Amino acid sequence: MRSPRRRTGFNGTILAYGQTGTGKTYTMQGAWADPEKRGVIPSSFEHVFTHISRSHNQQYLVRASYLEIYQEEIRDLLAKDQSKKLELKENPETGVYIKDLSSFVEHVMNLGSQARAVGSTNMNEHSSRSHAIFAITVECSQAGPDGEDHIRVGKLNLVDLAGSERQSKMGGPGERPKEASKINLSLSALGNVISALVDGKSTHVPYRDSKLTRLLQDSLGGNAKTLMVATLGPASHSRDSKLTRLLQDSLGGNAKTLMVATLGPASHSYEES
Amino acid sequence: SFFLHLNNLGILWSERGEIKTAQTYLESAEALYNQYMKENGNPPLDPNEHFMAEEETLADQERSKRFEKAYTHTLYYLAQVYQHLEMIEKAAQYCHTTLKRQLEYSGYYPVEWALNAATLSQYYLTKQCFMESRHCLAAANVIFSQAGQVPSAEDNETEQDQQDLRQRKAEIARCWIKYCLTLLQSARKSLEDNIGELDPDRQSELKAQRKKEEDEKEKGRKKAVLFGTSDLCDSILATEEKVSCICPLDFQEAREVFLVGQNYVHEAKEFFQFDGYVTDHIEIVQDHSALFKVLAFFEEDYERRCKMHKRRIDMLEPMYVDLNPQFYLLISRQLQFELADTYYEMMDLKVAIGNRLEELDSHTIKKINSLAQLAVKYYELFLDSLRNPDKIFPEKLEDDVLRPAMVAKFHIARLYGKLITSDGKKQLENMQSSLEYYTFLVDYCEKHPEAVQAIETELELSKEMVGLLPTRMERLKAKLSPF
Repeated sequence: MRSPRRRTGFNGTILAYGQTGTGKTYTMQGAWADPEKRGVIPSSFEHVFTHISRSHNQQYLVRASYLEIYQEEIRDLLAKDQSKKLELKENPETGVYIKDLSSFVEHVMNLGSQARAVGSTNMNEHSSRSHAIFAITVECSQAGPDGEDHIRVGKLNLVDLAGSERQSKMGGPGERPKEASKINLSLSALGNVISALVDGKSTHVPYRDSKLTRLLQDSLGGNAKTLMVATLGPASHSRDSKLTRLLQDSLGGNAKTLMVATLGPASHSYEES
Repeated sequence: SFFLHLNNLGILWSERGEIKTAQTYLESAEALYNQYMKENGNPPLDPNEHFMAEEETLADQERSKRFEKAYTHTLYYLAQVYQHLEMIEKAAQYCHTTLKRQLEYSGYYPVEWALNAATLSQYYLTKQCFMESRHCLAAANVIFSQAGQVPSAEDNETEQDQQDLRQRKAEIARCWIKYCLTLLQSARKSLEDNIGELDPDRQSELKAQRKKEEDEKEKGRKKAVLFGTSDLCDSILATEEKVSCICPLDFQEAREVFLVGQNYVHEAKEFFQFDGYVTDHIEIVQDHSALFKVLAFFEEDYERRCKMHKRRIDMLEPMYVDLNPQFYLLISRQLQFELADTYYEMMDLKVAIGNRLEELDSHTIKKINSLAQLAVKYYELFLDSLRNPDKIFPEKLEDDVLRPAMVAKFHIARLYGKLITSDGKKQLENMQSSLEYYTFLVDYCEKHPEAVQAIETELELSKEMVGLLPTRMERLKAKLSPF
């Protein structure tokens, strides 16, 4: 039976995109305890709770989850059992979700970051190859003029993407790996070669959408707001607008991009495009 | 041996980005293989063998196996090279041969092989090569069924493994659905006249032509790259015989293809249930709806056609109602538009049926009006979905929604013109609404001339109506107010 109260609300996504070592995680997390150096995630939390503390006659429920996508497998970074792989599912009312993903309110950040470090011998190697998504869901319940409770749900996805130098292999949102002309030696990649040959709407290609794309699909277009923070290192091809445009295209052109240049000697420019 | 060196050189040059050089080496390897097999028939010595003692040299069989495996890789590398060089047809051909050789020489994982064959079938669909497509799909079915039979080394097949197996089977079923759908749509294209109806002359023409081509087809089949050893061949053939690969030319033939497609729809939906796999489920149902739509083309009787469209409504509407557009905006819009179009089609059919009667009875009139209003409702919902959060209709429409939005406006205008009422005042209201929508189209194209090419026909008709309607309305007004 359909719930008579349809949920309304908004979706927002902040994506950190750039090559390994250019400061994506720093941008997103920062130094949790230091107010000067807080990243996007803790700042968002602060913002949410400040807003809540100023509200009247409204009930709030705030939930946070933290997951990682590595080689198309989903891991709950807040779970006790780190070896369990989670499934991506869809609900007609609430959209895409991860089955059995746990959520907490406080003390999330540290738990999650520890979990990311544990379980891989080389942390930099691992984190540069995986996407991490921190999601904050805020439900606000308020009695409407009709006496019924109206629920608004807002979801903020904070995405720390895998190092962009790996984008072509990881299959970034929607894009085709055009740069790699390297031959794949193993026959196990035959499926990828065949899939790439199919370019038509009247076909079905198994596994064509990456888990990242599906998870973010409701945040990448329509009435969602998306902000992409592209980090550039001094060594990277700065103003590599082609890369940004590729990602923007797959985001449907709805994203605002904030270019952040990190800690290079002369560059502290912030461009909004 | 020289052969392996050529392979390796090909790989090396590809890593350096020199794809054309890689191509040269690999093609040389390919030529060498062909030449050698033609002249010798026996595989050359494996390079390691030169360093082995006599007793240790490989048995003929093992040597042959390694050689063939290396050649399979040559073909696989070439497939990738051709793909990078955008020689897609050749790439597909080499993928096909690689798959074939995997069955004959190398080892293979049944599920993986089946999925790859099913994917390759989709490539052939884009080229309208139905015989090859069907062959790939039939092979996929046969090889996939091997997966269930082979007992796993450790017999602890987890729940997850069973689930994965069921999912992959459903994915293959979806590829079959596309095959049936594409075959039917291709047939429709070759049979339709310029207003989208079945052209009986074309039909007879094509039927006569088909008789002539039957011999050609047999020759073509013998030349095609077929999968499998002889026993596999039989199983594959048996599967192929269950569905045609030639374009259906009448209702009976179309219905047979339709039924195969429908069976696969049921199979796919078993796994991809609505709650859990919303997007996949909806895509499958959209395909089912498309199957009905294309079958209706072959159906001569209007009442039966209407029933087919009703089946479409019945399967699409409940899904649409349960979807939250906040999370499924694109799909929501697609469903709105398809529902509107289907009601529109049904209304047109009822009008045609009504025109054959001496007089329109009140029941038919009610039906026509009800269908028209439902079509308007869904076109309006679609147009509403384009509004921004402040509920304002966009000044300029994005490219991907331009044509559908304009078609929606045009159809609504036409629908208001089709409503039947004996109440003069109501008639005037309907004409006014009609005029507003036609005017919107004309005004928009004036303001945005680049939009014209997207809706040329509709624009022309709209301009006509904008000219005619005011006069008609004046005449009606005069009739209604007697003084």
